[in-house]
Amino acid sequence: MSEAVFNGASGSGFARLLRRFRDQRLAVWSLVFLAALTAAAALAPWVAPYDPLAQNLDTVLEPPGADHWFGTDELGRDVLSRTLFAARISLLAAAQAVLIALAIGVPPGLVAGLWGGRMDSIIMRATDALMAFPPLILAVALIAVLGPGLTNAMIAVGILLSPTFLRLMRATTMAVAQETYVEAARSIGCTRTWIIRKHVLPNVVSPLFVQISVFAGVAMLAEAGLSFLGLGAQPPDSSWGAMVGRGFRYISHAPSLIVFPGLAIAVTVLALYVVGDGLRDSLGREVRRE
Amino acid sequence: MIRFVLQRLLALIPLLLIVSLLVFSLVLLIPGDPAFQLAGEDATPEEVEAIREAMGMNDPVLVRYLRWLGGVLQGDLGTSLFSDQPVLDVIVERLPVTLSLALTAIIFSLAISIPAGVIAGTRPGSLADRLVTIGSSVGLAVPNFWLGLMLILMLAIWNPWFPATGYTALGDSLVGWWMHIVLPAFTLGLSASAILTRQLRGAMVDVMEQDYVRTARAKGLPYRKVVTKHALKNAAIPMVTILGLQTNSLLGGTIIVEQIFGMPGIGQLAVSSVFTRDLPMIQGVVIMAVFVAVLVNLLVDLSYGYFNPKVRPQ
Repeated sequence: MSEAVFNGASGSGFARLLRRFRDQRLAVWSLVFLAALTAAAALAPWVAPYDPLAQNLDTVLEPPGADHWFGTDELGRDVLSRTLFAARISLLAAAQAVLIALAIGVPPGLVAGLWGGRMDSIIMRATDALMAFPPLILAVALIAVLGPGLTNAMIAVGILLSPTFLRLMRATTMAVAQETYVEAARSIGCTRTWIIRKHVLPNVVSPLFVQISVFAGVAMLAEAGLSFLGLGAQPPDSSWGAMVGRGFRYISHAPSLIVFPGLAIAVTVLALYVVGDGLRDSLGREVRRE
Repeated sequence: MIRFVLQRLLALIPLLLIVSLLVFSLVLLIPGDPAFQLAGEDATPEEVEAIREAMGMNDPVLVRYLRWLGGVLQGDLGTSLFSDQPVLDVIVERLPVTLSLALTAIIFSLAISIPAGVIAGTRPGSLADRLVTIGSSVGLAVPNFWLGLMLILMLAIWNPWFPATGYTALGDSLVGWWMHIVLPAFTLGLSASAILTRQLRGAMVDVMEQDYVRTARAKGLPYRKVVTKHALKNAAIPMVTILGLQTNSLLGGTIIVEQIFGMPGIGQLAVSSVFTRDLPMIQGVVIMAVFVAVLVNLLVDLSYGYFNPKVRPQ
C-alpha cells in the first residue's frame, strides 16, 4: 500500500472508519488479541518456555500439567512452545495468501471497473470460470501440479480468494467512475493514473480493509485444512493445522495435541471475523449499501 | 419453461469451455518435463517415454487440448496413471459416497439454520437472537477438521455411540449408513448452517418490517401463518442463492471430512491422487466437481420461479 493512499484517505473515509471502529468494544478487543498474538509469535524464541524442537523421550504424550501447560507430543516436545512457534507459520501463511490475492485481484478489478467495455467482459468471464470451481478442490489440484508445500498451498489459496477482491474493486471503481467529480476531473484532462490515485483508491480502501480482515480468517482456515491434509506446511515447519494433522494419530492417548492448536485456529479466525464485522459496521452508510 | 432451461444451458457453454481450458492447463503448469515428474524419481527412460506417449505429449498443445476435450465430451476422462483404471469408472464408483455426504450435510444445515434464523430474525435484539448470532460466528470460525476430530473424540472414543471411521452404503444397511453419516455430515454442514442462519436472520428482520406482513397481521392472520407463509417464503429467496454458493464449499469440504472419517469418496480420492501424482485422476475429479456445482446452481436458478412468481418465465 503506497503512502499516497493513506494520505488521500486520512482526511476522509478512512479516518471516519477508524473513529467509528474505536466505539466497538468487541472488535477493538479482538484487534488487541490479534496484536498480542502477533507479538507472542514474533517473540516466540524468548517467550516460549521450551525449545519447540527439543525432544525428551521420558515425557512423551503427557497431559497438560504444571511443567507443560499444553502437555507434550509423541517425541516429548512441549506443545505450548510448539503452538507459539506454529503461530508464526500460520499468521505468515495467511498474510501471504491475502497479499497474493490482492496482487492478482486488485489491478484487473481497477481496469475492469474504470475501462469497462470488452476488457471488462473478458475479465468477468474469466472470474466467473474461476468461481465455478469448488475452492478446496481447485487448491488441491494446483498443489498436485506445483507439489505440496506451504508456499505453493498459499499461492493456490491466493488465486482462489482473488476473484472476490476483483469484484469488490470493480464494483467500487464503477460506482466512483460515475460520480460527477470524476467526470469533471476527466474533462479537465486529468490522467487515468491521477484519477485512480486521487479519487478511486481512497474510496476503496475502507471496503477493502473489511474484506482483507475476513479473508485473512478464510486463508488461515484454508491453510490449516491443507496443512492438516499434509499438503501445506512440511516438517520441520509446523503450522497449527499441521499440528492437528500430526496429533490425529494420537487422538485417543493425548487429545491435548489436537485440542490446543485447534482452539488457537478457531479463536484467531473468530477474532479476524469480529474485526471484519466491526469494520463493516463502521463503514459509512453510503458504502455499506453496496 | 423448457425454453428457459435451454437458454440457461446454452449460457453455460462458454463458462464450461473456459473451465475445461483451465483444467487442461494444469498439465502445462507442472514445472520441468511433466512426463518425467509424473513418472517419479526412480523411473527408467522407457517408463518416462511411455507416459509421454500415453499422454500424447509429443503433439502440439492445441491438438492435445482438442483431443482431451473431445474425450471428456464423450465421457472419456483418461486413464489413471496409478491404477490404470478408467478415471470415470473410479469416480462413478465413489460418487455416491460424496453425494450422500454432501446432501445429508445440506439437510442438516437447513434443519439447523431455518429454526435458528426464524427465531432470531423474528425477535431481533432478544437473548435468543444474540445467542444465535454468537453461535453462528463461532460456527464459521471453527475449522471443520478440528470439529470432526472433537466429535470423534467425544462421540466415538469417550462415548462409543457412533463409529469413528468408515462408510456403509445406503443400499446395504439404512441404519449402518445413518450411523456412519451423522458425524461427517454434521462436521461438513456446520459452517454452511452458520452462513445460512446469518443470511436468513437478516432477511427475516427485513421482511417482518414490510407492509404486507403488517397487513397480514392486522387482518388477524395467526402469527405462525404470517411467519411461515408471508415472511419465510420471501426471506428464503436469498437463502436459496447462498445455498447454491455453499454447494461449492461443501464439495471442497468433503476433501477434508472424508479424510478424517475414512470415507471412500471423491475427496479422499483427490488427496491420495496428489500424493501419487495421478494427474488424469485429479483433472477428472475437478471436472466432475465443477459439473455437479454448475448443475446445482442451475437448479437454484430454476427454483427462483417457485419462490418468486415474478421471475417465472412466460
